[in-house]
Amino acid sequence: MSAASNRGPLVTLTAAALVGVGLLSADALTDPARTRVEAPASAATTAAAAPAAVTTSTTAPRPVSSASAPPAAAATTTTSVTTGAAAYPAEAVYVGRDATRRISVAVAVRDGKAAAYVCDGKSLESWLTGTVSGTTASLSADSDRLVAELDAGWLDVTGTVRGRAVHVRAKLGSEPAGLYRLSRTDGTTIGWIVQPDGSQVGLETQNGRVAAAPVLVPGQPVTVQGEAAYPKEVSGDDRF
Amino acid sequence: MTASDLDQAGPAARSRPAVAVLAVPVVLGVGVAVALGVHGSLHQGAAYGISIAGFSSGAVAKSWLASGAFALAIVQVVTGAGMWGWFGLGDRAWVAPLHRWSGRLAILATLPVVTHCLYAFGFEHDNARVLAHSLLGCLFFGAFTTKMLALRLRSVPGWALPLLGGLLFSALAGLWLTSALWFFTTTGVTR
Repeated sequence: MSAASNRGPLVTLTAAALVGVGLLSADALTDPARTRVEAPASAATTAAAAPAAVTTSTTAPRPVSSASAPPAAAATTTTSVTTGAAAYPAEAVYVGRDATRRISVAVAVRDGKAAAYVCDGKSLESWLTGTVSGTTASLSADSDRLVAELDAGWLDVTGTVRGRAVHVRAKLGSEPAGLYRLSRTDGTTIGWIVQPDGSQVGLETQNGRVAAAPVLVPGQPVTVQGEAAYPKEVSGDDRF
Repeated sequence: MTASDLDQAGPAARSRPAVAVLAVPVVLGVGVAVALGVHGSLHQGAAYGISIAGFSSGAVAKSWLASGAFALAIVQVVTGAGMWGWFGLGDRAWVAPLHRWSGRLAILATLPVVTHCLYAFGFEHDNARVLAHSLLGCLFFGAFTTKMLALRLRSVPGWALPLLGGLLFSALAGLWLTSALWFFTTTGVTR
């Protein structure tokens, strides 16, 4: 066997490993969630340390705040950092399921506002709205309550919906994963939660009647009562 | 060396080499499979990946790439068997280069898919499909590592390369069935 052909498989293996590692690195380097989650985390540490010693914090070797700035400016910096520590992206949707896999939750956030949908795909559903403060989003609808807390990139969602306790660890979703809604003038409302693995749950309600939702293909119309209708991706500032 | 040299270096020409020569490739392959699984389990799914131009979503791009790899894998089986004298391909000079290059292209096509799976999802066991897909993914790249290393051995038992090739094909077929076919049948064939 010639040396060249014998080395071939090793070259192939090495090249595959290098391309694989390169692609993973590209994912890691360009991941918006990583910069979002990690940067505010360090900022939060800064903010937590600062109030204890506002004046001395200005002289601390912190590249962001100018060392010679007066205490007032430092306080302003601290405040803006604290609000900026809302580790939520300006616009995002988190999706997940509870441990029993029966209840799905999607929470959309946008510019300090939040909207959520809880659905078991059979009978239980609730649309909630609320606000975002720091790392916490609080949502409600009638007697339903949800609190969504950012935790190291995950969204910890707890609350009560239709009298049932809900606890879901949701993760940041990217299209087609997300929360979709169709609201028609005849009173029909359909909600869908599409998970990152592509599975979906949904419910269709019309004047109190609940039915299974048609299958949603994100970006394509669904047929409701014989008519094509376009579901819309729910944004955090949508109100129901 | 020519393709026919390789053919004659096939099962018949080999003098019953010890199975032990496969130890290092097998151990390294198992290591790769386990490392992928552990990495996938420990790494939190980021639900993010770099996008590939020309497709409406990452899932669509992955489904097409996986389908391309699967089509090339069929070429792999035919040319691989051909190098063992099947289909009357034993003495064709183009069979071995076609086998090598279709294999390289197939692996290349799987790389954006597996890195996206690893980065965006990780090893998951939400349901039987996802668990099977995760396990098969680890198996596939472990078997690939073992096969590439086994090819470098001076002599291996005659059944080793067909077995590894068959394992690779089966794993890829399973991967395709649990991902691309599932995606195309649930979401539709889109671009």
